[in-house]
Amino acid sequence: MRSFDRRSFLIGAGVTAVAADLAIKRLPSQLLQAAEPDLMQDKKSLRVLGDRPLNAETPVHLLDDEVTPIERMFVRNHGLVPPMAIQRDLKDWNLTIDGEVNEALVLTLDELKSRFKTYHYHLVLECAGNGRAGFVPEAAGNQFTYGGVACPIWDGVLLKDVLVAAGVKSSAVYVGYYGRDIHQSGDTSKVVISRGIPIAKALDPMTMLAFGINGVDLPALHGFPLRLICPGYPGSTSGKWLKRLWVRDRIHDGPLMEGYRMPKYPLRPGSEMVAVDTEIIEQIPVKSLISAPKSNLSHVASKACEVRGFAWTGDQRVTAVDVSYDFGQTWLATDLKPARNPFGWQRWSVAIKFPKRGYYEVWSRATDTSGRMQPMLVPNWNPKGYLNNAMQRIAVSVV
Amino acid sequence: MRCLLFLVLLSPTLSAAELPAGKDRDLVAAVCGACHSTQMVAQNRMTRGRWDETLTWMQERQGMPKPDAALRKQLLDYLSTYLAPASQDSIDGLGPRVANPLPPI
Repeated sequence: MRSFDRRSFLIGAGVTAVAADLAIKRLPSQLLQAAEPDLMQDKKSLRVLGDRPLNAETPVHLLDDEVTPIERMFVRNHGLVPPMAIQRDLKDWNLTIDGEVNEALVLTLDELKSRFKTYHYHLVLECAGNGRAGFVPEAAGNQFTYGGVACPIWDGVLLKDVLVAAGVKSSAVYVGYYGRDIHQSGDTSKVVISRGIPIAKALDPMTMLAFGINGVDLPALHGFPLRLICPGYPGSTSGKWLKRLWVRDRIHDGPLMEGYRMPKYPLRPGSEMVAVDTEIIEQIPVKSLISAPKSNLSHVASKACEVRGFAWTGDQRVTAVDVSYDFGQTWLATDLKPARNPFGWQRWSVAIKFPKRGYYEVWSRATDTSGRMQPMLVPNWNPKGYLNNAMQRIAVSVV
Repeated sequence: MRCLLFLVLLSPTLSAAELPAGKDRDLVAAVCGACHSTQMVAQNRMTRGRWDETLTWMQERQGMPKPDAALRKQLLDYLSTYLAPASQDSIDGLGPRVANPLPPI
């Protein structure tokens, strides 16, 4: 067999010489990806948005468990899962906490678990881009609809306890994370994503360093062996495969800190977003989802139809969820359960007696402690498609 | 190892199926697909200007080698032709109609 010539192959496939050179320089990520086991083998029910990097959302009718099982948790990656996470190799793993602290710490996983108390908190994790598919004109990025959200029970220690052990200086302003994920280009010197949170959020008693989900160790896809959970903030602040937490004397400026921002002044849809007129996304807005029935269900008129779902917010708690089946003309209160703990999502349910047969939409609208409700139309257009908390609609045919 | 390389290099052609058919589709798949899936490209609908900004961001932040002017034009011609924003359907000047009825899941 002739010796294999990558360049000739590409040129033979109808690609110009220049493009062939470009593609050759970037091979490593494809080889790395090809060598990975099927990371989605337990998540076949998810809708894959892209496989490199791996992003997938949960069909909303499969988000009907109060505690989201791992196999129904959405997947969001900016880069490639590090081999040490896939191999579950803790040999060289540690977490460094340094910067504006009295005493820098370097902790193994065992030290973290033995020095600090373990908690189990039911906390929502949501991608800031959940709902992006609703923006018109289209926003750039993974086109999540409703399923970029999950609420499992996270097992871990409090970031606050670790920071207090290191001794936070009065000069501390922000905490930035660094992880072990690998850049798409295969360049191991490039940081994939390094975001952060204000020091007050870092010291909030609900912010966690999680090593488990629902009682099992973190899967590779979800950040083995340790990740941040910053509930009520965009999912990109909940960094995975942690190696370092840098307590800074200024707002963190790692890669993608320039990304997760919203316009300060509401934008006309389709217009330019100017960087100086943006602000970092912190608290996520109030939202709800309808987990049952599945949209486009046929329902018998004589029976009451149970409609149910969950509601959550970045601002304290949800105070009401109302539903409408007549396009917002009238609203029914639902039975809303309390959260298990702050930032846990709340179950709501209602039995609807439709007045007559025909085609209906059911909308759910959550209100939180700030008094804000979900909007009907997609709010706050921005070219990156963040923070669409418009009401979900399902279709019901009453026969 | 040779077989793996062959399969890996075949994958830009396979994944070109994610992108809409059109002139220079395979070129776009080969260049863009070297680092990430073509689904990442195909999910987006942007104006030529925003695709151009996206390419610049890839160069400046994501380690993509800068395409020469001719290649850049080919890439942008494809992207702005086949992955442009959908036409808007406004009845009151305030934006597009809301999708009604809801599509089946």
